[in-house]
Amino acid sequence: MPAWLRELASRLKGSFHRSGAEIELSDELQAHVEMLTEENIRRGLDANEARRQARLKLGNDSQTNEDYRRQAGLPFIEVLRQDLHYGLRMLRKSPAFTGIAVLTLALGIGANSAIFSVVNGVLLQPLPYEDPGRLINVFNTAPSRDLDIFGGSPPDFRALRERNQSLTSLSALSINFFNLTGPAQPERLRVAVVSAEYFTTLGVKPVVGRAFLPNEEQWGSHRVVILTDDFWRTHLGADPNIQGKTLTLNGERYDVVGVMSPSFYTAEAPALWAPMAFKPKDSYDSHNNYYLQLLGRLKPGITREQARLDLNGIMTSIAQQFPENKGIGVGLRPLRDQWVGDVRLPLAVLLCAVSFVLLIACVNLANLMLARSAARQKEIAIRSALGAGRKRLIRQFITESILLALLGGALGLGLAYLCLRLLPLAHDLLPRVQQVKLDGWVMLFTLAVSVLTGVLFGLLPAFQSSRARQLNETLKEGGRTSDGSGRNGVRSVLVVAEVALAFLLLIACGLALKSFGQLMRVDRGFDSRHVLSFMVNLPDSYGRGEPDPTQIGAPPKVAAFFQELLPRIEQLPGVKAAGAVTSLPLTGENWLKFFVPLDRPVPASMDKVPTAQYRAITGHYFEALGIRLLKGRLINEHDQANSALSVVVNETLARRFWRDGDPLGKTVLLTPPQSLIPPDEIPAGFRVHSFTVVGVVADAHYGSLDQAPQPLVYASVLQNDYSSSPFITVHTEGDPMALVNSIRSELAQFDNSLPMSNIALMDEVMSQSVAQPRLEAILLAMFGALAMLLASVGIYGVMSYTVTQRTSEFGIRMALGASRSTVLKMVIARGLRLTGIGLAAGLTTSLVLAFAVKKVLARILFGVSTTDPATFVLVAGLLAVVALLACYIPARRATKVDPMIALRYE
Amino acid sequence: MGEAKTDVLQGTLDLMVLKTLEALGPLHGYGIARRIEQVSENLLQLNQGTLYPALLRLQQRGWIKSEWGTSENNRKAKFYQLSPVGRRQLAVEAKNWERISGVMARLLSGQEG
Repeated sequence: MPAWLRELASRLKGSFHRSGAEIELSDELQAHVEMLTEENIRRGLDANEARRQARLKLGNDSQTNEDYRRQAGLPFIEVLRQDLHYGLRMLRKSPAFTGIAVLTLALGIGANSAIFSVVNGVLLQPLPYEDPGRLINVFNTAPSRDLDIFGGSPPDFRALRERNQSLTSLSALSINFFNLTGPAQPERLRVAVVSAEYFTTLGVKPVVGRAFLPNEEQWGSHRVVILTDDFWRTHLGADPNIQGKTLTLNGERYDVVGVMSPSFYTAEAPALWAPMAFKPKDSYDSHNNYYLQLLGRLKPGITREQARLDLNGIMTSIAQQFPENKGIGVGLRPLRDQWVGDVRLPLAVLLCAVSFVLLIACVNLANLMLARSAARQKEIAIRSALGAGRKRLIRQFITESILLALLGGALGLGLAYLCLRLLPLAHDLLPRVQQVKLDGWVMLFTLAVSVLTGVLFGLLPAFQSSRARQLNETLKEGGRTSDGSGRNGVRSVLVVAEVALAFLLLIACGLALKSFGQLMRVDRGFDSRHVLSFMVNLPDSYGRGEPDPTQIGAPPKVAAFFQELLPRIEQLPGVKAAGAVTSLPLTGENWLKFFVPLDRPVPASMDKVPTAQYRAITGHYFEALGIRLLKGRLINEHDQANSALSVVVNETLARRFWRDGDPLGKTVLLTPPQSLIPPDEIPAGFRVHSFTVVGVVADAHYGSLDQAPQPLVYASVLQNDYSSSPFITVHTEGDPMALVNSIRSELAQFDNSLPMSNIALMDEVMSQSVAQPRLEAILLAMFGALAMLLASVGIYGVMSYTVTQRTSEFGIRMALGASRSTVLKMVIARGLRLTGIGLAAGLTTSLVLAFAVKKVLARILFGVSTTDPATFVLVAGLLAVVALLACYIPARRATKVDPMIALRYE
Repeated sequence: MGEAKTDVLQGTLDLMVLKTLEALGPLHGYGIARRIEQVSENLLQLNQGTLYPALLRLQQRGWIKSEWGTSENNRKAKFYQLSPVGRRQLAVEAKNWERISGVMARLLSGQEG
């Protein structure tokens, strides 16, 4: 071990362990003096002189002791210990101050810790898979058709998987719903249907059993499933012997072949996984169905750009063979972006907001510290006179403030922990919410923020109080009358800063609230009150078996389902209307079809064929949701397989395609025109059917409220493509939930293997769709309120202190004839002046910022610009009123000063 | 303020102590101080108190060991002696000193050519 290290270790030990070293030293020194004295005597000096010379030679005893002690320990630690001891004592002596300070710090630091935990778990931590940095999501994109991101089609996926050179593996995933039947109640399960190498791509293995085999993508060998740990425990009793266990899904037997580990987690959160397999000639397995999520792993050394070029090359060659792919390419993004990309910005905004709150708290604390150090000025001056250098004094102050901050931070961490316990409530809003916890990173962050905060708010008062001029004055005067204006100036600056910061935060808060308000005010196009919706999963047995291209619309069993069930539901007491739809409003614009009006020239090529959103309905769907009819008629149960083929369009579509004309009576196609489809693509017996537009309805928001509705065409399920998981909507008179059981029994009477799932009130669906902006608005409002509270307390504190300091001055003024109201006005004027400067500063800064980040913020604000004048005026007004109140109370106190008493204390 | 001066002196003081202990064997503080004064022909009139922090440091570095014993006058005194590591360190330091002083000598003698 190197000598210096040994020395360090020894000194480290010495600073904590005060052994008998000092006693030994005095013995040694004593012996040394004796021996020196003897020598001197031998040299001829008398006893006293000998001793005196000996002492001189040995030098100053106390100096030697001091030097020795310094060598024996580490002075740095010594000093730190002293400072800490002193600091703690000071804090204990003023419990009120310490209490307020620690509480303020706890709120400020705790809020930061809580938000950081979320940012850490959701955005920063890598995904819990092997080498997650190389996992990517491959999506389809067709800029020429105005389509940014959409899913892949099965044939495209297989081509990409087989022919790519840049990925070690590529997998596909889609979400489906299977009906589980068995001894218990029928249950609808969320299933992730994946390609065989899905788990390999992620780099995980089942803990029991095995992953899927490649041949299990073949129809016939596909009836196997892999379970989540949760499902295994609840449905199979965690029996490790899964050989031979089966589940009845959609009426068929599936073998259980594997179980995943309990810590395995994906964004889709299914109950189990099944392999992706298609019946021969399954219509899902075509180039027109874009619904698969693709995820892949880059080969080592390959960049995303290289992979993108590689995959796009394959897509181009596919488009040469299959013209309907023309214009469709692929894009790549990290898998993590796919999961959390949406929340990055809102979380960043929240983090900024919460740091502002902390800054404001720091300003308050700096003010508090200043006030406190003013009270301690005498003590500080004396210490300085006794030899404490300025550096030492400053270090002492900062130690105290860091100590306060650490205490506040510890308490804040506890508060953050409590807040995080509420997090499961947000699990729909926040991806990866499982990974948010108070781990080592969060604690490190809290520690760093605490120390930084302590330094921040301690620095100014430390410098102020240790100024030589300050100390001189204090010692001279006995420190009674108004203290140096220097300190007041600093305090005023702090108040101004506080008001400015509060202004900025409140602007953000105001904008968020207004944005949310605007969102809620959007005309959704439907009435969600008293509407119940639920989903029914129709199993394969309801289908045709073999796909029949000559038939359009639902097969007989499916048709019977709608035609019998819906009237039965409508007959229940309290039900006003019932209908069915392929997907509900506010759940996504997720079914795109070609839309070709025949009253104009046929498009020249496939990529010029227009598209529109498609929904298939039957029954009194429009009535149930209160979607208004604008022209013509609605389609309903009377539009059956053998009726005239009819469609209804929404306003946006009518405007897009027939701006100045009348859509009623026009014929359209919902497939590409026959002339554009290569002959060998057309299955035998297939015909292109044309539909007649019979009505126009008001726009309903199928996507989220902040997006404009897309052009949309409604067809009857009996006449066109249907979904095997339709939604039933029921409009009732009273509380819809009261009818759930009766509806369930009607369903069971029809077919008791069909479970009812996704039971929700449309009001809830509404609420869910705005949950994220609402949560953000609430959080920002909370932070804004906190900031305003802190700022008002700060202003009050400073004004109050100023009044106290100037008591004698007011007394003199009033003795000299000033009226009470003059004094009142003086104080208020001063306060308002400070507030005004603060507001001006805040205003300028926010305007500058608003322009700087306009584009970024525009993405999360809806219907309100970043420089919305109304919000600015409102916030300025609010702060002014608050400031006025904060000034008023101390001002009144100023007027109550009795001139005689004030003068006497002078 | 005297800290800067002490730094330079520290190194040389260390060397002197180590050399003294090598030459004279185990010795107490007073003995070491006397020897250093003697050898330097009283040129080095150090404040003998500065010896003790230096001795502590040498102990912390593991170069010397200490033990209470009795002096020649039957007085209780703390005796210091070189450790094996200290002996090696002394050789290294001595060699360094020779090298430096050689260079300084050549420099100061105003070499021409």
